[in-house]
Amino acid sequence: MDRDQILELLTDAAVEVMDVDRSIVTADARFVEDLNGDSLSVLEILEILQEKLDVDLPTESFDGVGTVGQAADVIAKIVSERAESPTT
Amino acid sequence: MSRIRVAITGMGVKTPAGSDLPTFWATLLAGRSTATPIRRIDPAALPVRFACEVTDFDPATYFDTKETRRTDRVAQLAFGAAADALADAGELGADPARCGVVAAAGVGGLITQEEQEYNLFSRGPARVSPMLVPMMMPNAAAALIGMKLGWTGPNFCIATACAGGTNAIGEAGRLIREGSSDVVLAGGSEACVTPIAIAAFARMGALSNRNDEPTLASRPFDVDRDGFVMGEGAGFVVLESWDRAEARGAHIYGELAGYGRNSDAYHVTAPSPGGAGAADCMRLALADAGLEASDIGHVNAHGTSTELNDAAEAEAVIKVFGEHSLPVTSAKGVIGHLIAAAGAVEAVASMLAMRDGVVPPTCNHERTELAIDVVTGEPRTLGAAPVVSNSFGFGGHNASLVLIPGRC
Repeated sequence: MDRDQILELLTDAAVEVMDVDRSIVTADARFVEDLNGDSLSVLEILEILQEKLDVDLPTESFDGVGTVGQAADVIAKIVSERAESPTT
Repeated sequence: MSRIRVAITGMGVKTPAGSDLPTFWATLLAGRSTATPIRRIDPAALPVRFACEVTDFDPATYFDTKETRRTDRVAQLAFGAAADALADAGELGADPARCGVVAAAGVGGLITQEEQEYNLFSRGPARVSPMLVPMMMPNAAAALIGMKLGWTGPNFCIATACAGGTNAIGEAGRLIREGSSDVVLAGGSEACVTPIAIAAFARMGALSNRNDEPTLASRPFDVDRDGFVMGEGAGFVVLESWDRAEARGAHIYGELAGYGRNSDAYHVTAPSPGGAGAADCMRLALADAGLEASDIGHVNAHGTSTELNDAAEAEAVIKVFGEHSLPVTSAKGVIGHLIAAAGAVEAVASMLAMRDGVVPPTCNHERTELAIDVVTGEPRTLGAAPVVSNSFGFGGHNASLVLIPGRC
């Protein structure tokens, strides 16, 4: 699972949660200001990604994340760390 | 100074018997059971495998996808019924700060709660939805209705178990009467056809076991009753001051003339002996309305089809009105027990009964050991006479409304 694939999943989730046109969900798009989101929207999107990726995405890991691309970076890091972990 | 009179000017329902007033009323008058094998979940492992479900409700009629994702079925049903009641009431022209919401819930968003508890136990706390709290809280429906309408007046949830819907309408009437609101949407909703709720009520012995004959299971006041049938749904009414309703030329269904509420203070699930608490409650409602027992045309009973409730309620009716003194009906033979929505939906049925001058029959009622006159078989023509509508909840909560026909 590379960052582009994660970005694709994030875009799907953002369209579903925020009910916005796919074309505006770019890596630079801000969840709240640009995508009709609110304080709960990001949490809902992460919930969807958790299901799709079957990985825990702790809310605190996303402190300061404002854009779709920033969220993809954090998720990619969590996914790669899990891949390297012998316990999972 | 004379008391402010409370008019009922709009009504909406989402029930197993229909999600609009004409369908709901026609099904009640036909006395046709709506119990079926449970469809929303696979009931195979459950001790009771049938219920009365709402099958014709589409959230998309009332919500966009974002709202639908963020609300439990219990709040969706509530808003659907409330929106219908509002549309039925016509143009209110009210100040939003003077508009209130009183919504009853028995258990809140139990469907969501169960899904998320499954996530917690099977996959750990990180998989619990961040939306669980706002979706499960019992006040979610009241909050949703207020937010969707932009109504900033009094807004609260009533949690008196199966008495909730009746308490909500009664307390809403008090808001109008005390002058703190001009318009109030009041009612209740429930959506707990879920594994844990079915298992829990069955373990108490509260549910009928007639898995082979679901349509015969809910039989209020019948000698062969063996428990209630779980239902789901919502009912809401629009209340406003009589003068206000008249001034705006509203269609007035009738008046909320009296409200009684008290507590058995006796047992967490069993009614007080001889229906003493329920009898006192009906007397309180009559006194509040300034009416005598002889003024009442019929009783819309709580009539759950459980051994204990029906016996105690019959005794209470006899205490207040006398043996075989007036017609008694229970909608639960048709729609099952809608828990916190029951009283609200049954208040709607009571208003329609007064409008048409007929009392709907009690489905499956054949024989009784109780000395009351239960309407059965066909609707009974009675004329437009006042109704006492009862609800009693686990915890010993009793609530009774006196509803009287529209008059100018």
